[in-house]
Amino acid sequence: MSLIADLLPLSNPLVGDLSKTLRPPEPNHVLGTDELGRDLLSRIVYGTRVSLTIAFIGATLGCVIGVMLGLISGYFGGVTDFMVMRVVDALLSIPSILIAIALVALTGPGVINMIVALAVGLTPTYVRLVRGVVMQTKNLEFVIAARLLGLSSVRILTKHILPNISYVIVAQYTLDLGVSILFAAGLGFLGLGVQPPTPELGSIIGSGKAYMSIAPHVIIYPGIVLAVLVAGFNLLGNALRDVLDPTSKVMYE
Amino acid sequence: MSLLQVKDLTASYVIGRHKVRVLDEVTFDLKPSEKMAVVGESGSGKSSLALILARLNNKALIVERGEVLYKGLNLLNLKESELTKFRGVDIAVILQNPSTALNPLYPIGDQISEALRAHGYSRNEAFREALKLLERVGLSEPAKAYRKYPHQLSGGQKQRVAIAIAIALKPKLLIADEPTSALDVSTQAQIIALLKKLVEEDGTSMIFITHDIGVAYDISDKILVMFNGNVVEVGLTKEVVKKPLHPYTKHLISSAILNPAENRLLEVTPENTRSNNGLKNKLVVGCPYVFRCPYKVEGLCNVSKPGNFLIDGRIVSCHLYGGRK
Amino acid sequence: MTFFKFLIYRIVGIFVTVVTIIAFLFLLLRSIPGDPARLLAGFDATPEVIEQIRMKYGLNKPLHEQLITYFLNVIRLDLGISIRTDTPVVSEVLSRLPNTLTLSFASLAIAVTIGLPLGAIAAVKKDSFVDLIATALVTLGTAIPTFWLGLMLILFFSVYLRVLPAGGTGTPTHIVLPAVTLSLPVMAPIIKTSRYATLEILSQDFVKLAKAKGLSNGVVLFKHVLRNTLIPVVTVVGLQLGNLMRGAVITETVFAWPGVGKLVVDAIFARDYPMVQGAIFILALLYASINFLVDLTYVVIDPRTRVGGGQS
Repeated sequence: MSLIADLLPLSNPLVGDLSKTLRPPEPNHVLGTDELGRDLLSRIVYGTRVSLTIAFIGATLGCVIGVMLGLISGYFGGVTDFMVMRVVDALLSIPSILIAIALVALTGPGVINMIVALAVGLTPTYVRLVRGVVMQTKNLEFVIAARLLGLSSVRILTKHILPNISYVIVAQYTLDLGVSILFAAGLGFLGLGVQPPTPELGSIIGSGKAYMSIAPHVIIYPGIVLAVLVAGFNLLGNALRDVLDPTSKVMYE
Repeated sequence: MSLLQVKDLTASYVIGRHKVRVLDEVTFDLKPSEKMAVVGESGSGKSSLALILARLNNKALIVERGEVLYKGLNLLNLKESELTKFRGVDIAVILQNPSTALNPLYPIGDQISEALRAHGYSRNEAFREALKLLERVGLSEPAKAYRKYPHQLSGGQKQRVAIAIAIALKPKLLIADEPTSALDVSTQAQIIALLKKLVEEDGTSMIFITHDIGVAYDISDKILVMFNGNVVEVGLTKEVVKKPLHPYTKHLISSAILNPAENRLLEVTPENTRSNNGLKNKLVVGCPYVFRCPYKVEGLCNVSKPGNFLIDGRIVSCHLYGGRK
Repeated sequence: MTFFKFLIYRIVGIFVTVVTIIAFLFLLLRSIPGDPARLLAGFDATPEVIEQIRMKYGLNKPLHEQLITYFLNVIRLDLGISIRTDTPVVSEVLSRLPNTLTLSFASLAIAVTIGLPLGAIAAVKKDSFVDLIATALVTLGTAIPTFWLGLMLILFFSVYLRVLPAGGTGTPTHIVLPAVTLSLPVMAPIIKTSRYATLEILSQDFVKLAKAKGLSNGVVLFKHVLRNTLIPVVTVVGLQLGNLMRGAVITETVFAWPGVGKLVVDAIFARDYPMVQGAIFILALLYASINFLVDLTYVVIDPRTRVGGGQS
């Protein structure tokens, strides 16, 4: 629904009426207004779009970079593999929240930093995932056959190996979308992510926090939306993994 | 007097809406000190039988009909809490794969003595008894072995530990579910010899599940042949092997003599597996063996299920021995 | 792998991690466009102050020399002077560390003591009411943002019921809300793993055999099942540490809990770079050490990691 936010009859999420601040839900403003008199429903709808965009870009970057590094590392092995895996180990040894904080501290809060931190934090999982499968797959007969036929490495990787692991990647990616939304919202809440006046679910809650005892609706609704979004991606990701993974077992014995 | 009487035992695996019959009116009895082998290919229901007799079947394996009378008492009616006093003392089991049958986190000695402790032994008594048991099953340096963890032992050694656990309380009945099929051939022979010696010393009755008729011949007094959940022939081992009556038993014995490997091959042949699962419903009508039987009589074997016929003190379930019923 | 080898391997691992972190922080500081001295001094500093900072931090020397100096300083636990408070960063961070540790361990304790048995019971009584609650907690725990949960708890227990303090420290009641808040996102994966692992283990042969010995249900569950469940749960706890740290930063901010997490967020807004750097360093070190502790628990639980030279 957030995708068509511009088409909906919503008031401008950036313009508020200062005579109507922190109003509880009423006919004109279905979910009430925030501390600057802006329509909360409109801010949530636009905010969701911002949250989704960040999560989407961050998770996609992490996935694409991770898959590429994993393919390269697993297929070529040797020195390349060693280098890539040391970088991955290093990244894994530092929680991504600290990477995000370091980036934000040095270059100031903002969307780009958050996306970079997200991508960096999510990359290692894919590298390990893909590398492991590639190392198993690359010596299978059909891949060797493809190599004997003179297919290029890139073609073997993309045509013959990647499809075999696509289901794991798709499931992981879906789960990562949920993780990314939470991550971005957390930084937004701390004031280290999306900056005002742009609405984002975490930062709406962060700025509404000061008024929560008099106007709890400002923080309650965006939180529910966040939780539903994340739960949606989690359930979808888990379902995808169960459906697509041929090795996931049905309990017989 | 019988130690164990099994009457009309009928059981199915129920998974969701699917139901697969694994035991069909299985009936036999076992005297004290008697050693009976249950022979059949995989999918014949022999392992399900073992699990049900020990009441270790999981929730998906449901007993529909029948009785399992131990000294006249129906084990199937007992609650889980009532079973604990029978288990170990009266009925003990040895499972197929010794590598998964021992808890990886505890020393093997503890796993033997806990069986004793559960039935009234003090800590010291249990410890001393466990050492004796380790020696009895042929593990050298019992005191040292006591403290070893399963991952430090070979498959054969682990199965010896499992045997020690099983015989710890001198049970009346020992149910051994293919105890050697996970071991290599030379170890198999040793374990079978050990098991035979121990049950004879203690006067324990044994039900020995196997797919290998050669092993069954070595260890048992009596043989029960199963096919597709049905008992097709029961009789004294020597007689059954010398003169098999049921076509399936004949097939088992001839293939074992002509080609010892074929028994094992039978287990993995996809065709067999398919006939076991896909045709189950049809089989309820006719003889379970009709699809593979070289002697089948059209219009008889595929329409009616044979009854149990008593021939020369043996029970055979085949139309060849009874005519129309 | 023998225990000794394992220990050496892990200690070397921690050492590599620490070196990586130091290099990472250093390179990050130097990769920013512009003059690091200016950054360190703050945006509105006078040229004199910037020059002073440059001398003080040795920023006028060649890069590799700076890196070495930086390494040596860190090893001597000299993480610089806070711009905001003019006190050594190390003492400031270390004085806050106990609060973060208390909060993290309290949450972890809640998460494990509830999550492990709940998952196990859910598995034993599959499809029961308890299983339903466990599944619900997993779904909620992975979806509800930590900060929002914190705020909702404050709203309910502090604003509405007025039974628990909304923030700060002092009495033991102060830790209740933050610890509960921080425990949920960690508890969810623990429940999930505990449930799944218990289901797996219940169908194992050694559980069948334990029953066949005539052991009571309780002994089978506690002695044979639960300890085996613990192994994957410990793995998950290890994997959740990053999550825990992110949660700690957020939770400390929500509840004004004076730990390292809040310190680092405050320092960012105050543009107190040495402090941010120092706090990140200590947190990363903490992360590596707890990971090490997690690995040690394996050794306690699982003899297979302890005794070498086995067969099969």
